[in-house]
Amino acid sequence: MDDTSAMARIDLFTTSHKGLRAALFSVSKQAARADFGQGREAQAVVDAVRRLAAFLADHSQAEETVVAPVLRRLAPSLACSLHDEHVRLAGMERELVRRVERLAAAGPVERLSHGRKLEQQLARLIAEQLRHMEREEVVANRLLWAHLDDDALHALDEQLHATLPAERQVDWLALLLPVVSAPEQARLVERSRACAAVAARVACLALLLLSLLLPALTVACSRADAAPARELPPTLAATGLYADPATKRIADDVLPFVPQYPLWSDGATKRRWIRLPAGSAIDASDPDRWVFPRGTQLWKEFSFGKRVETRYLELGADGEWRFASYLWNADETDAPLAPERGVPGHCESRPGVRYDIPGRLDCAACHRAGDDSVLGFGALQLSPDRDPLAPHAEPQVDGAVDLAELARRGLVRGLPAELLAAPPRIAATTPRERAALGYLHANCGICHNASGPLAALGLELDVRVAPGACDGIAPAIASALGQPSRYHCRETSQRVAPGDPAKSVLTRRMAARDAVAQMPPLGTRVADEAALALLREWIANDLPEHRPTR
Amino acid sequence: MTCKIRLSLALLALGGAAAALLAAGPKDDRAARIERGRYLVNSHGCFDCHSPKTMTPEGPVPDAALELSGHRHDVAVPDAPAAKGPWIVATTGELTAWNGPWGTTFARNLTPDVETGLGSWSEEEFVATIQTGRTRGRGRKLLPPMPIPAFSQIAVDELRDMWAYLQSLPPVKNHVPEPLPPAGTG
Repeated sequence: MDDTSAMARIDLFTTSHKGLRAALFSVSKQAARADFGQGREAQAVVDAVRRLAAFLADHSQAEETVVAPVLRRLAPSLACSLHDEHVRLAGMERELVRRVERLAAAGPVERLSHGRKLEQQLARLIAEQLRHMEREEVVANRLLWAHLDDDALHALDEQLHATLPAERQVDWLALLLPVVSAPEQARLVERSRACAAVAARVACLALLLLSLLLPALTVACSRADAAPARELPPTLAATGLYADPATKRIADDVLPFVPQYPLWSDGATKRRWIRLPAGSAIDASDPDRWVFPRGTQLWKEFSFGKRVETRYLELGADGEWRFASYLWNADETDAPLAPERGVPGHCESRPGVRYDIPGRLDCAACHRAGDDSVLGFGALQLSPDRDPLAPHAEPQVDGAVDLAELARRGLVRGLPAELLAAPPRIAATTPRERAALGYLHANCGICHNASGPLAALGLELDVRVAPGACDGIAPAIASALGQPSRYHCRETSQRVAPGDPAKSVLTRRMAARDAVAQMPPLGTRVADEAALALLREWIANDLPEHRPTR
Repeated sequence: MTCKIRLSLALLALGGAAAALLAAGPKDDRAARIERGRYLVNSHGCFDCHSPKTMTPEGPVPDAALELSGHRHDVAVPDAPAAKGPWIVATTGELTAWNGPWGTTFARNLTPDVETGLGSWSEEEFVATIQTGRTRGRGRKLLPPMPIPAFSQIAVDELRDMWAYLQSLPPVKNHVPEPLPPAGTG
């Protein structure tokens, strides 16, 4: 098909892509020019990114609803790959929105850091979007033009338009009119006459007028319509964990899992489960930052001889994670929602030691302390190559899913093939070091990482498994060994003193349970002696003075 | 052409009026919030511990120039006297340093200085700190005598007003020492 005939055909993609490209570039430029230390400028970028995300979400949803079924019929493999691209892009867009939510809530210094990361995320998104849109405009159009006549294409074009509610149609008109050609403007105006509501029609015409008078008007004013958040279920049973709450038989579509490096919770016995919405999958293309489908649920049951609480995470339709705990009654027959602020000192974890039920802000303290809200369910934690020396390692349970099983069931997509061929394993000089780094990853790297609110400390105790990320000295060692600590213990101020655990702030604070020095600062009242023994041995024997640092 | 110009002017006038209306709201609201915050901070006794003081015949009086800037970094504090019987808590004449079974506490700098005060904090972190009793809502516990059990009951709106007032203060550069763990630990 030559260019002349292509120009004459109805193009389902290019007009809206022109608007999206303009919006992507405009927001990128705005972010690049912004002084994120200034609250007003930062807020303007936040608002612009939210509007951009709403347009991108509208667009991919329209394509998935209207175009994807046709493509699946004509070319299943192309439809599948375009769908995967939509899933991946949606994940990046959610990350972008999460970034601006954090940016909006941050102080001036943190805003600068979030701003830089936002610019990088925007650049990556633009690169991916440009590639994707080009594939649709060239490959998908070629296919559609070869198999569909203009009447069929026109019908699809109308359906695409109809997926948008009237108020969004106005926003789209405002986005597109200033950046498309005169014939395209004419078609848009013609179609605007079919706007269902009179108010919308009036708005369409007003926007057209404004777009002609004010060429700078490129982005619509209204905010994205966020899906309403659902209330937290009032009881554990209402979350859907159990097929039969009376017998506590777990629902068939709920999958148990066992991370290889458990979090220390004063010796609590734990059981964990996940449910993914039917037909959905986790985007694992960035193996260190899994993107979960909306509707994902996770549970973790804590017991000290008997059930005490079951913690619960769910990813709402609005893309926000919600956290809760359900408190078991004495005879373990019912578990209602715990108070929002938790229950300090709820029960004894061991004689004379109280155990705290976390409040929702406590949950957020850890689950919003890095790039991932889901902790303990990732490529490293679920690796089939499990660490036999991990402190408090738990045996696998019947039906538990690990990385290989998730991939086999199609529940993770995009995972780099290298990680299936050679499951993630912490690179270390000794087995003891491997276990020590794994413990730090699970118990300390939640907050001490390079992407969360504590990034400025420069202490990176989390482990990355993306191909290439493990090369060279481990970030935990590079950022701790011989490095000065902001916290001054008596006789020492090194995070990890080479060969000397007694003079290492890391182990000193892990061993402390007074309010000043305790680490981690929440979720535990008893020091983890098994882990301390491991870490002290590691520092004394595997981290001598001559070991190079970054 | 005349018609277009008139239309443009009308649009500009309408836009200007709308902008003026929009601008008036937040500014007035902010001033009111700061004023409510001033009342709340004063009536909740924040000055008692967080302001350096000068001693007068009537007792310690907050130093107006150093309002809410915390324990003065240049005031060295020797080890606290040993606890004796029921006397387990000690404090300095300025009430900015306290010692007890939990260790030694130094009142923080609440002015908006970016390096040493709350200038790098967000409103959300301030609210979470008071509600959870932990630094920025996620770090170590706030220590006695900070009255978290009482303050955590303050309504979120009022905490936001207190934050607005604290952020309106002149920043004071005063690097308050970190707390010290109890003797024999840390």
